[in-house]
Amino acid sequence: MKNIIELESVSKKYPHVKALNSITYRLPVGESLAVIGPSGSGKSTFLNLLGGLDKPTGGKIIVAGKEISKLSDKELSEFRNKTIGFIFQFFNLHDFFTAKENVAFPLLISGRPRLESLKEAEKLLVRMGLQDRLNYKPKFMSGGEMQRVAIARALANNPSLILADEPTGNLDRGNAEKVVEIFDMIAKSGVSVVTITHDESISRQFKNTLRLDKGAIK
Amino acid sequence: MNIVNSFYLNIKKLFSHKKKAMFLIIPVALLVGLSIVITSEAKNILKASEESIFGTLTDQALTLELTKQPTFQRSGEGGGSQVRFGQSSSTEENFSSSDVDKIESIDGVINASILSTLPISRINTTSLFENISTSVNQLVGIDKGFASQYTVDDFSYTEGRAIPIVINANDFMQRYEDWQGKESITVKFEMRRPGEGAAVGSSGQNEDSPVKTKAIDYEKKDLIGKEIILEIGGLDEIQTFTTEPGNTGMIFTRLTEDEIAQNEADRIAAISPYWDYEKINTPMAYTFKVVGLIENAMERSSYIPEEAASELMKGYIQNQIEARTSKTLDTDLLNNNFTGMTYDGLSLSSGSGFNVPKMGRMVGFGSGNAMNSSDSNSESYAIPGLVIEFDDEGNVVGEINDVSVYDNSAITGTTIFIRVKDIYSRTDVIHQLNDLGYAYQDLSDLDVIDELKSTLSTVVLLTSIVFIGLSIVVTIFTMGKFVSEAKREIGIHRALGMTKSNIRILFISQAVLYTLVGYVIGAAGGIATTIGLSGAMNIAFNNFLSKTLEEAFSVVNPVDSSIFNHIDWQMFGLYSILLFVIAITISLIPANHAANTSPVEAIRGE
Repeated sequence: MKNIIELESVSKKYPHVKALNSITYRLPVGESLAVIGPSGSGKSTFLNLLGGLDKPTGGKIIVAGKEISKLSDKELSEFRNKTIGFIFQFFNLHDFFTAKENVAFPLLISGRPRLESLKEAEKLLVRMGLQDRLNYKPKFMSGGEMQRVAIARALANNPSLILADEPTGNLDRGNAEKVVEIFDMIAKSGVSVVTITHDESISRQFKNTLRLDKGAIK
Repeated sequence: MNIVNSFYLNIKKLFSHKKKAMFLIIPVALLVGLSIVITSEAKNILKASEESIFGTLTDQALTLELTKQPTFQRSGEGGGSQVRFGQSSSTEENFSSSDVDKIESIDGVINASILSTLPISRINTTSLFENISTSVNQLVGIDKGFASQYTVDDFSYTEGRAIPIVINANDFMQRYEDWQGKESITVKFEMRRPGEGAAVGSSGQNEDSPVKTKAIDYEKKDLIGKEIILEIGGLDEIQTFTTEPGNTGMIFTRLTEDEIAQNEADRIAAISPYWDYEKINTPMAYTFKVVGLIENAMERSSYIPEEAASELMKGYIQNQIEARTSKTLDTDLLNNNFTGMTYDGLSLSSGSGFNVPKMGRMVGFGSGNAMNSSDSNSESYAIPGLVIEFDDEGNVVGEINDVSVYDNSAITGTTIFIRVKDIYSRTDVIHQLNDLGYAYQDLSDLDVIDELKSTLSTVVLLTSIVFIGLSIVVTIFTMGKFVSEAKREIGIHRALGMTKSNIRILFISQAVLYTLVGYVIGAAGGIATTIGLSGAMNIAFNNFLSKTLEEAFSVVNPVDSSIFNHIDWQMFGLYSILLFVIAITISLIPANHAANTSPVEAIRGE
């Protein structure tokens, strides 16, 4: 597999909006990409299509060698669970789970036994420097800590691609830099990272940049 | 994700969002708890009613009382018959064994028994009401089966133990004299319309009469279980006044002390040659136990077991035989001077002028016993236990000294008790009775049984319908709310790889889990409440009995509180199954909605 993502003339139309207009793009395996653009440029749509959360109205999307536009709901779910790792701007951790349980959750979804999943989650959290927050619930953690938990969760099933939607948008400068460092670490391990950001300084730290404007590559 | 992990996630959610979870748990707990209490207590009330009321009603409904009404012939008119409800009409003699045979041949009749009043003239007691002497006017021996309509206590006769008696409240009268300071009072003759009778507790006495009676106040609960002494036999009280008809009425004249003493002396002189005066004057005392009370204006009898009746009669006659001296009683004396029971070779009667078969005429105090009486105006004394034999023409033959004369005589009477096999046979038996010429009008109270059963069944049915309806509404409403509030969560789940099916199972398992928690709380609460309420229910039910039904029915048994702590496990099981079926099926609707939520919109919605 040469490219981690391949988009060929991908379009996404909503009833009154054309979010993406015939986008063609390829990202080689192991490389990271920052998608940058003003509000309404189609960044989130781009990310959702890559993650299989939405389907294109035209064109073809191939991620990690799979044409995801043709997958069934069940196949897409498995794809998201095992191939993709999502990181959200507002963390989106479950408030009723501890940090360890949040990270273990994708493993449970994939059918791994609970104890094994929790052990695995613990290892990931230690890698993130959160060994003291294993049994804490999100409401007892800072924004930076929560985002690191979210990153650990995204890595739980050893994905090929991390999709991050404004991962530093809710963090202070210091924590934002920490997140970028982690992404760098992830990329070096061979996992591609595609992130949406409006922060130019963040985007400069990624090898590739894709500028979108009004649904088209600028 | 498997179902176990779904429950794991929902348990975590439950502990984290307890307040939200209560939206489903509390209504379920209330529904389950209330349903258990209502259906269990409805069933317990029905059971208590069956034991206390229905049992009585059913017993009463299984016994038919067929009574002959005496008829009155107006001069110049033919004889007619009066028909009163619940009674048969006849101008003939009393019921006899041939009537019993006919009735017992009816399909559905277990047995029939003629009620015959014991021919004992004096039955008194001072132990029923303190310092007040009362009389038992009609004592009847009945079979145990017939007694069940009057009492639930043991009605069997055991030698050496108190004889059970169902006593009649119409006998609770106190007799006294009020001369208003006069020596003589004339009581004017009064007319009473045919059929006009007296109510319970009324003496039917003219208010001018110096001989008065008044009803004695009583509490039923104080009498049931009480042991009393009945004095049977003994000579009549020496009369303290004389009566003679005047122009306008009956003249009552007080006797002086000397006159009374003289009357007693005359009596002693008349009786002593033939009987040991002291022995014949001393009543026999027997111990009875009050096991039931009749409070019905239409009934006048008190009941004892028929075996006890036989023993009493033997004792009554034996006492007279033992008091008898060796001096012969000739027919003149039996005609004119001494009265007692009469025996015509067939049946034994009291000899007071009533129930004298084949004679067809009334005889009374102060007149001769028989057609061959040579002196119808001589003073005569009633001798307790004396049996005078008559021939077919109504002539006195002599005295009978055989204690078994009562047992050997044919029973005749105006009332027959009929025991039917079951409620279902009752109607058919009544039809056949009427076909045989025994007119009987069915006035059973069975409707109240069906009505109460129907009411209680309706309560259970309504509870069930409300239970099902509310379960559905609560499940849809709360699960819909949970799903709409979990949009973001659904988006995360989908982003992390949960399928639509996983989402569906997740929300159904949430419904099941919360329902289970509510169910356990409700079941525990419902069971505890039912048991806890049993004491109060028992008090309320027995109060209801004492204030309402005991006024209407002879026998209404108080029930034990343990009846009210039974759980209707059948309905409990049914509700349990229904609840979870509803939780699973109805939660499918919001669960499907959750599964079909767009993950993009769900996440965007934050």
